[in-house]
Formats: sequence, C-alpha cells, structure tokens
Amino acid sequence: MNNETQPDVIVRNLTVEFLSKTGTVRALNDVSLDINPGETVGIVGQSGSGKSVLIRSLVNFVPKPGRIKQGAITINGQDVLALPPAQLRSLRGRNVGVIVQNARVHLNPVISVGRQIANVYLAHHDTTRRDAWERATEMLSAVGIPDPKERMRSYAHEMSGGMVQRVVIAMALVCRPGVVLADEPTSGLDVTIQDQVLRLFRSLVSKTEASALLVTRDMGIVANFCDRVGVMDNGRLIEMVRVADIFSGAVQPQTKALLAAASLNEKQVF
Amino acid sequence: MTKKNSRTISGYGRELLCQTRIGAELLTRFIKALWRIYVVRRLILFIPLLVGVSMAVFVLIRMAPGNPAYLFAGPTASLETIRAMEIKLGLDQSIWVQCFLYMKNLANGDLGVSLITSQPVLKDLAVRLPATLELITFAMLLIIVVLVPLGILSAVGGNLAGRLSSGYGFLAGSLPDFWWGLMLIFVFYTLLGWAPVPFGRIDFGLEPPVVTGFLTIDTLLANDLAAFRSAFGRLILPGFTLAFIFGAPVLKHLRTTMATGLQAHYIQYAHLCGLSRTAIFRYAFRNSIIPPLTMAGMTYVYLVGAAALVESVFAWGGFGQYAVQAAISSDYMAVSGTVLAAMLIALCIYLILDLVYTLIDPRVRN
Amino acid sequence: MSSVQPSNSDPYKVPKARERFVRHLNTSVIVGGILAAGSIFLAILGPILAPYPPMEPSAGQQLLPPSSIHWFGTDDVGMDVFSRVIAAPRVDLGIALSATILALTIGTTIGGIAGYFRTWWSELIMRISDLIQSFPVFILAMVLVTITGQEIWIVVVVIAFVNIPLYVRMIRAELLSLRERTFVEAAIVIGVPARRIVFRHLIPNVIGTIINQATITMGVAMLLTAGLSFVGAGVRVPTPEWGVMIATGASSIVTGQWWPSVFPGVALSASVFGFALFGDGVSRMLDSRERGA
Repeated sequence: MNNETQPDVIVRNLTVEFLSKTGTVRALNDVSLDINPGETVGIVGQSGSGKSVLIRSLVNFVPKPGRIKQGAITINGQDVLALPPAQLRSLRGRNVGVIVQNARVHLNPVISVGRQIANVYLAHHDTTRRDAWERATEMLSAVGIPDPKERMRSYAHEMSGGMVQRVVIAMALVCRPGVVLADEPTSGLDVTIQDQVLRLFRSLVSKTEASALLVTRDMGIVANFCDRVGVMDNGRLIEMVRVADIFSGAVQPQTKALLAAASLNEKQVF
Repeated sequence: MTKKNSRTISGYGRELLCQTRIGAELLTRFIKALWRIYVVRRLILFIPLLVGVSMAVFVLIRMAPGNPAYLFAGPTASLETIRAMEIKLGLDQSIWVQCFLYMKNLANGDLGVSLITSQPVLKDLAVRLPATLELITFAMLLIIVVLVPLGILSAVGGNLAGRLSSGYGFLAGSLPDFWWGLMLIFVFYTLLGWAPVPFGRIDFGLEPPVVTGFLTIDTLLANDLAAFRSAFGRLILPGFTLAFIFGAPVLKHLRTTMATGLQAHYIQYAHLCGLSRTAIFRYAFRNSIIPPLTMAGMTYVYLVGAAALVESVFAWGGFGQYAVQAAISSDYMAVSGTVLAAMLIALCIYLILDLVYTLIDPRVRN
Repeated sequence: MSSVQPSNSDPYKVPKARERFVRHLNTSVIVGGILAAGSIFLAILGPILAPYPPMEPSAGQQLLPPSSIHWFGTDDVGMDVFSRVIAAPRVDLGIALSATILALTIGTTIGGIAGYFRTWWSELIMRISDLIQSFPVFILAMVLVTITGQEIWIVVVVIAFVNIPLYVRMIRAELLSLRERTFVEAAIVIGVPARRIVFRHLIPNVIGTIINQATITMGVAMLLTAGLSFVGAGVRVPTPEWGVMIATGASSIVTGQWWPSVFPGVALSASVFGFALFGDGVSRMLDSRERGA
C-alpha cells in the first residue's frame, strides 16, 4: 500500500536572471527538483553555481537586480510565485524556515537574540509576548545553548560563532515549519562545531518530520546528513542521485567523478 | 587569622600585611569593575576634562596680542592708570600665578566684568544663555518633528523624493542664514503682516518673572497667556530660519543611513522570516537612528554659536550675539567667558549624548 | 559566472577619451560649472564691468528702487547695487579661494604625513585637530579675527585655519585605508621610495574626494566671510562684499526697500550653490568612471 504522496516542494523549470550593465547573467537555468516529505535533499556545487539564489528563489526573495524569469514553485501545494504579499509573508517563517550562513551579520545587533526569536514567533502566531518569549526560550534550549534563560537577553556580539549559528537555527525553526532551507549553515565554523550544529539540525528536522534542503560544498556533510543529493554547476542542476546509491556503487562512474569534482576542500585562493 | 600567626608579634604583623594586601586587591578589582562600566568612566573623566578645557581657554586668551589693560583703562588713560589696571587685572604676576587666580575665580563663578555692559560676565551669560537655548531647542524640535518623518519617507520613497530632498539639501546649504532670516522677515512681516515685530523675544512690558529663563515656560508658569502667545510668536520666524537651514544636513544624513540600513543583512533575514513590514521598519529604524542622533547632537552644539547671526538679525539678545559684540569690541573678559561657556556646554551635551548611546546601542556598554 | 549574454556593442572597441568624458558628464557638473564659472568671471572682471564706481557714494541717490538706470537700485548711501554686486565676487571669491587653497595644501600635507607615518605624534596631531574641530566654528573664527585685527589676509588665514582639520582627517582616513591595499604593499616590496608611493600612487586616488571637499570649503568660506562681515568682524564698509551689503541693507528691508539686501544674497547663494553642485557632479563623474559604467 504505497500512497502516492505529493512532494512538499516542487520546482519546475526555474530560471533566475540578474541584469547588469555588462549583460544578463543566468544564476539559475531551468532547474527542476522535488523534495519529498521527511527527506533531506543536499545540493552541492562550487561557489557561484547558484545555490544561494536557489534558496532565496524558493521563497520569492530574489534581491534586485535579479528576477525570476520563468518557472513554477509549489510548496505544500501553494504556488509560491503567485502568492499575494500577506500570504507570502506567512509562508516565510511559518511554513518555510530559512537558515542562513554567516549568522552574525544576519542578526540585529541592537536587539537581544531572545527578542528576535520571539518576534519571529509573534509574527506568525496571535499570542502574547510572554508566551512568545517562553517559546523562544524553549527553542534556545532545544538548540543546545546552555543557560537559555540568561542567554535570551544576550546580544549577537556577545556570542561565539557557533552560538549565533544556533540562534539562527532557532529563529528558523521556532514556528515548526514543514520545510527547512539551509544555506551552508556551517561554513566559517570550527570543524568540531560544524559537526555539532549539523547533528542538531538533523535531530530537529527529523523530530518534526520536516523536509529539508541543505546547500553545502562539503560532500562529507552530504554523505552523513542527506537522503538525496543534486549537483549544481553554472546555474544548472546536473544530476540528482540517492546518497545510498553512491556508496553502494549503483551510480555511474561519471556521476561519481562529478560529485568528487564538485566537492569540498575548496581552499580559499587569492 | 591562622593559628600559627596569632602567637607571635611578627606573626601578627605578617597577618596584618596579608589582610592589607587582600584589602588592596579587592579595592583595585572593585575599581576596575566599575571602570569597565562605560557610564561610570565617562562621568569620572568629565571633571578633569572640564578643568583641562578651562585651562586651554586660558592659554588661548593669554596668547592674544595686545595689552588688555589699555582697553580697560580707556584710550585717554595715563601711564599710571594703565599700570594700576595691570596690577588690578593681575597681569604683572607670573603666568602660573595668573593661571591659578584664573582657576580660583572660575571655581567661585567669577568670570570677570564685561567692558560693554559693565556687568559681571556670569550675570550677562545667565540672561543670554537661556535665550539662545530656548531658540535652538525650538529649532531642534522643529527639525525633529518635521524633518525626521520626511527623511524616513524619502528613504522609503522613490526617486522623486530623493531628488527633492537632495535639492533641498543643496539649497539650504547655500543660503546664508542671516539673509534667509531677513527674507522671511520681509515676506512674513513686511509684505504679509503675519509675523509679529521681528525684534526681541517678547512684547515690551509683558516679561514674566524669571524662573528658568525660557520665556515660553516662564509665561506659562506665571499663567500669563497673552505673554505666552507673544513669546511663542516671536520664536517662530527665527526658529524656522534655523530649522530650515541647519536641518538639511540632518535630513541628508538620516536618508542615507535609513537607505543603507534597509539593505542590511539582518533586515533581509527579517524578511526571510516573514516579519511584518512595521516590525521590519522598526528594526531598521532602531539601528539607523544612531548616526543621525550624533548628527543632531553635534548640530545642537554647533547651533549654540552658529545661531549668533540669526540672533543678531532678530535682535534676540542671545549668547551668540553677545559673543559677537564682545569680540568686535575686544571685550576681553566677555570673550573669554563666552568661549569657556560654549565649550562647557559642548562637553555637557556630548556627555549626555554618549550616555544616551549606552541606552540605545548595547555594543557601547563595555 | 554562468552564461553571460554580451551587450550589443563590439567588445573590442575601446571608447575614445573624449567619448568617455562626455558619457559621464552629468547635469550637476554643467549647471554648477556655469554658476561657478560665472562667479569666477565676475571676480576677475567684475569691477571693470561695473557701470558705476562701486565704492563712491552719491548723496541724493539713496534707496532708489530698481530701474533702467540702476538695474538693482541703490543702497542707503547712494551706491549702485548692481555694480557692487558684481564687484563683490573679487573680494568674496578671492578670500574663499585663498583660504581654500591654503587649508587644502596645509591640511593634506599634515594629513598625508599623519596617515603615512604612524607615530605617536601623528596621533597627537589628530587629537589637536579634533579639538579645533570641536570648537564652535563661528565663534572661533570671530574671536581669532578680532584678536588679530581685521585685515583681509587675517580673515583668509582664520578661515583656512578652521577648515584645516577637515582635510587632515579626510586625507588621513583615505591614506590609512589605501595603505592596506595590495598594490601599495606590492610597491613597498618592490622598493619604490616612500615619496613616490605617496605622490604617484596614493594621491591620484584621493583627488576626487579632495575636489569635492574643496568646492564645499569654497562655499563654506564664502558664507563665513559674508557672516563675519555682516556682524562687522570681517571686511569693512565700503568695500563691496556681499555680506557687508546685506548688513547695510538689513535696516531698510523692514520698511520695504528690499533690493539692497536681496540681490547680494541671491548672488551669494547662487555662487555657493554653483560650487557645491559642481563639486558633487565631479565626484559622481569620477565615481562612475571608476566603476567602469
């Protein structure tokens, strides 16, 4: 009895362009993918292959001078690109949580982190500030920050890199969204912290049975935390394979080579 | 006290030393902890800063060429009178003694006697300073109430709003403030007859008893509504003159910081989390307000002196006008007193501003 | 990045220098330039072109309204306002230009030294210039002028003095940020002597900011001169100078004779406006050139 369940996220023929004085650049070129309920899909690719744009496009937040030229995006059955502003706002944060990289610059420096998390909750739930504050404290504890009650009043500049990343995860997940989009959530962090943060991510996602899109440059992360993985290059989604298949050898050698080439240890070269 | 040490005298001495050391250590740690609190630091440093500035003013005035005794004694004075005046002014003493006398007088509130008014400088300032403060506070309020919303709107608004406010900025920066005041007088008083007579702060004979020196407040305290209307009416033209011209840089600054503020990463993330437009706006505002606040504070301080020209045009009897007249007449004591007062006000306002920052921006607190 | 569609023009065609110049020219530069050039023109030729001698009062001709013989009317001592208005730029601009050049050269030199050599006395220089900047400018200018005398060159020096800290700070900031740039490190490593680094490499990067700031200083200097003269602490009657003219006309304006004050004010504002606009346009031009637009 295999019920044909709809994927949580359906992307078809997504093309995103950036207009500049030297010409038009296609950041995403005819990208199509599905994310099934409960699965974590990884996206690997080098810098500039369009991974971050993909995440932002999924919630219709492509910053100018970019625009979505064509394509269809369906999340939980809703056509994202056709949503009016109020519902788009509700989609973001409530149904879809976004985890960004470089968490520190994405937090408001003059407001306490607890207040920021609570504000996200308040934006989507008609409840009291006290209630939101408590929810936020629970989230801080869930993301593994010690002394959550104290830490609620801290500011971003008072926290370490790993901790602000956890705060961002808390902000993304406080409304228990069904879809989580993570944009290189661990780049810039210490290797040991990376591992902790990713395990946390996986546990929270699986606890809520959310589906997730995990963008990364690290094949190791993909191997450990994703069910399927797609390779992006120059705006195109080239291959999509099941992670289990890679290691059981059921995948073509060309694909393996591609995965290896798209993989990690991209040292910063000046 | 340990058992071993309590038995002998040297042991007792050793114990005492130990306790003193611990006490000293605790004290230093306490002071260091206090020091780390920014607010305390600023407050403690304020006094030496005042002293330093006063001495700097002293040095500056002493560097002026010419013998002030000539001025005080008058142009027809004989050599003996000049000599006597020199002794009276303490100019025959060494520079250190003069400095000491200067600081001593300052501490007693003695700023000397003005040449023109023959009043103690302190008394002159006590009358004129509130006049200026009332005027520039009014101008500042106008700026805040009118220009701040305009600035925010134009930051959010499109190209036309941007061009308009840019044009206003250039225009206001090119107008001489005294001339602009004259133009406003011409239009609103001479031509239209809407404004009251543009001289002085209040109709002659309606002055209320002095409480704060702020006529608007004092008239209200004396329950004299006619006087209040008169005082307020006279504030409008000079206040508007100042606000129009000195508000422009504040507006420009506000626009720029708001515009860049709205592009910040944390604002983008707030969008991504689905926060409402008002919530996002509040985020941006909270952050963008800091540089314009600095700007407003600096403008306020600047206005204390810069309002002099407008004060002269409107015969306001203010601080700047007093400084101008003192300078032109080489009124040695008055000039010295006003420069000192100006700098002290600047220091006070900057201190208040810094303290306000600690409330708004948590990054400053350590 | 990904597939870039090239724009229509042939990528190998390099636009000529003049083409590039014209492409970046914007309205501010043109309008501002005209106004500024006009003032400079009058500064040089004004007193010669004046229909009436600008410093000779004629009794019996006081406060005549604008007419065909006196285009701007006459002031309270009978001097032709138009002649005085066009003779005034020589004084106003002369003072402003001298003060600006003085402030610029001294300020950039000090700032350059303070920015390039990071020693304890360069910090001291910055503190002192901070102190000067925090003085209420107008009062400082007035005090300095009156204790040193009211000669014109004193006014120049005083205005230059209050503007120097601005340049010191600006140049130093630019230098400090440029120092860290790789091409400077490369030059040092290769062994280019310090002076050459400063003049050939660092200064050209700063020119745009300097020009913009210089035009602003011109404006500030003119307004300051007019202000000082207005209260009697600057240029004295009967020298034609816009501030002085506004002052003498001030008493008449209340009774309705507007022309002795209005015309000089308009002329002054237009000059300041022109310089500021020009400077802003030039800096935007340089900006867009650097971006390769």
